[in-house]
Amino acid sequence: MGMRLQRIEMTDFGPYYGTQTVDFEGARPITVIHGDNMRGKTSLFNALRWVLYGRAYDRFKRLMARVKLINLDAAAAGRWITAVTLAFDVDGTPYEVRRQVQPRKGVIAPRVDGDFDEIAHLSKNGVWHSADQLTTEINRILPEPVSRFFLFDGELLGEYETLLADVDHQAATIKDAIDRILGVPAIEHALTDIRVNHKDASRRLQDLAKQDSKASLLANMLTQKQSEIEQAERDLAELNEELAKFEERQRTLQEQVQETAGIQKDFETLQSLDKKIGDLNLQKSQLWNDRQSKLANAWRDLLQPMIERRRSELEEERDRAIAQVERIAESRARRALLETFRRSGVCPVCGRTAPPDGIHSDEALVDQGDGATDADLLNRLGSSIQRLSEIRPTGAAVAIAGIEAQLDRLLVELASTDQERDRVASRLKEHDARTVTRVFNVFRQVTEDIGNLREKIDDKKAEISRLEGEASRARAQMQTRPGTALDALNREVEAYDQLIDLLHAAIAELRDELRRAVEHDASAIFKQITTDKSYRGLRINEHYGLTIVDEHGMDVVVRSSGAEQVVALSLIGALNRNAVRTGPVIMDTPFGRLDPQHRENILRFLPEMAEQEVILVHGGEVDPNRDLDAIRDQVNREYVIEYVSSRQSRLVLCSEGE
Amino acid sequence: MAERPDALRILLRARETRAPKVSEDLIRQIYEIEERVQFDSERLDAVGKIKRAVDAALTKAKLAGEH
Repeated sequence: MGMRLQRIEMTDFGPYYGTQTVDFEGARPITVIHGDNMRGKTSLFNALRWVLYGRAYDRFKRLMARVKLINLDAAAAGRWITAVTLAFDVDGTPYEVRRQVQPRKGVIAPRVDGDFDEIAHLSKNGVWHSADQLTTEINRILPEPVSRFFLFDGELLGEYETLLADVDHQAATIKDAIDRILGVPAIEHALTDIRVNHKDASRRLQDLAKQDSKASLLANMLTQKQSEIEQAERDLAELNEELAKFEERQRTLQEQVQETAGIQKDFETLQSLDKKIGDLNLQKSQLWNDRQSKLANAWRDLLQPMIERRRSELEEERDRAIAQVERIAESRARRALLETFRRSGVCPVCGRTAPPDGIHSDEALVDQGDGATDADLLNRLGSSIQRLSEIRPTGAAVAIAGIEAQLDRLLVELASTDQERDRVASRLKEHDARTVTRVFNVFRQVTEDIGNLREKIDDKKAEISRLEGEASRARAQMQTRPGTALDALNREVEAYDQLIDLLHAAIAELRDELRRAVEHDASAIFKQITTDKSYRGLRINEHYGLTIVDEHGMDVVVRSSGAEQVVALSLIGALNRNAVRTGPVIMDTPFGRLDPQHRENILRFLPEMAEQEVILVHGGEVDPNRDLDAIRDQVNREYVIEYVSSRQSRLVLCSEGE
Repeated sequence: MAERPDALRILLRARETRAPKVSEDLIRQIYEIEERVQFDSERLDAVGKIKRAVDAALTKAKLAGEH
């Protein structure tokens, strides 16, 4: 069953104001839609997903509210309606799907999903059907769980890496989707349905056998076993039911976890900013105290020039005082000599006798000072000089300048950290940290419970298998009993026994063959795309996780995000080759992490990937004038999403294949 | 490109060793019933359809004197 897109028409959807159309029809397989970031590539991608499945996701993978689907200018003009129509055919049968949201009666300015009505219709062969029929038909054509192999973006490609790890929720979901697209459920369901019929036939056989005295013993034993099997199956059904509830809860929580991941990060950022602000304030306070203590001695540095000057003055004064004291002492000594000479008439120096009138008082030798006063002066000066000398510079001024510079830097950082904290706190105004943490904790607990339940389910299945073996042996003995009605029922039970055995074997074989085929095809595609030609290929694990194998046959453990994308595209290519459903591959910004050579290799590979491809790319990943040369003859149409305003974009057809 | 694994082919191959008394035709019918509804959430009345197919196959075999 293969789907082929013909046309999509969007009315006031996202940035697409009014009605805008993309035509996919043509002999060539590839449609390229160029658009810069924020122009509307993901909105177009969402339009395709929404019209088919009624779901659109924002860039954080959160389900978008209906009100957010509507073009803002249209809403501002009072047009609270958006619609998308997709025309396609499936193996020659024409289909058209239309989905529309519009305000409920009486609602003028809708805000929440409940304010809208969603109307969906499907036309098959020109006959319109209801929304229920749409869901049934789309599930047959391209079921949502397998849409990840047809509608994907660069981010979704990264999820395939989880298949290499032990099975977690995400890996289990992807593995289930892979099983589905490869058609495994068809024979798994056959086994389930045949078991139901087998149980019914066995019960009828036992009832009949009880009427045969010789067979009744075996029948009773079989009844006992059957009863144990039924009890075990009831337990298993309960466990499965419980598991389904837990998985549903996990899905809901997963959405909440995804939604709150940003909030949780903000809370962590807020905590770290609070800590940083606390640290900065502590540093500020330490620097402040340091500066205060340095300031206590800073006057020494500031007064040092004056102190030096004053000390120098005092030293000069002291030198003058000393000279004066020396002069006075000398004068006093001469005066004492003269006095002795005058009294004795004999010179105490040379011993000559002086004439009586020759000796007179020399007024110049009169005492010029007070000895005690001079000594005091000298002492005072010495003391002052000593005190001034004790005042030494501490280097505090330089240290304070350094602290001031540090404080300035710190205050700038503190202000910017405060601003950042305010921004984060404002984002978190309506959220509660405990609620967010609780969501994460509950999700972790539910995931753990699911693991435990899966173990119990495996144990219960093993128990059922053992009981069935015992019942089968009892039945085999009973089947030797003659009787027409018994014979007929025995044949029926035997047929179901054989079918169950056959289906068990076939499921295991199909899985093995599928894994081998996917590994083979993915390896071939990988070798075609990869730029490292020394790689031998890819190795698949039981969850369909793919590991690169090097030239020596060894696993390449570490791989870049670009390599992950190449491996993921190889897996998707291989799944499309082996799928029971085929359809167009629509890729939103798939080349973001790839280098030019890998990009070119993938572009060259695109025509082999599916019968129809739509790629939505920005100028940074695909240059229309250079990169598309390799596939120019495969391109059907090229559109450019042009900027009209911040609320409007326009789809313009820029080239059309012949 | 490797040949795509075919569930019906595998079922028919397994029949030869695991369920030789079950006809190829019955295997085909069961697979077709399940293949058609494998992506339906309700899978309609697959159990009943399979029972009717098995009953018909057994009756046919009885009439043909195979059992």
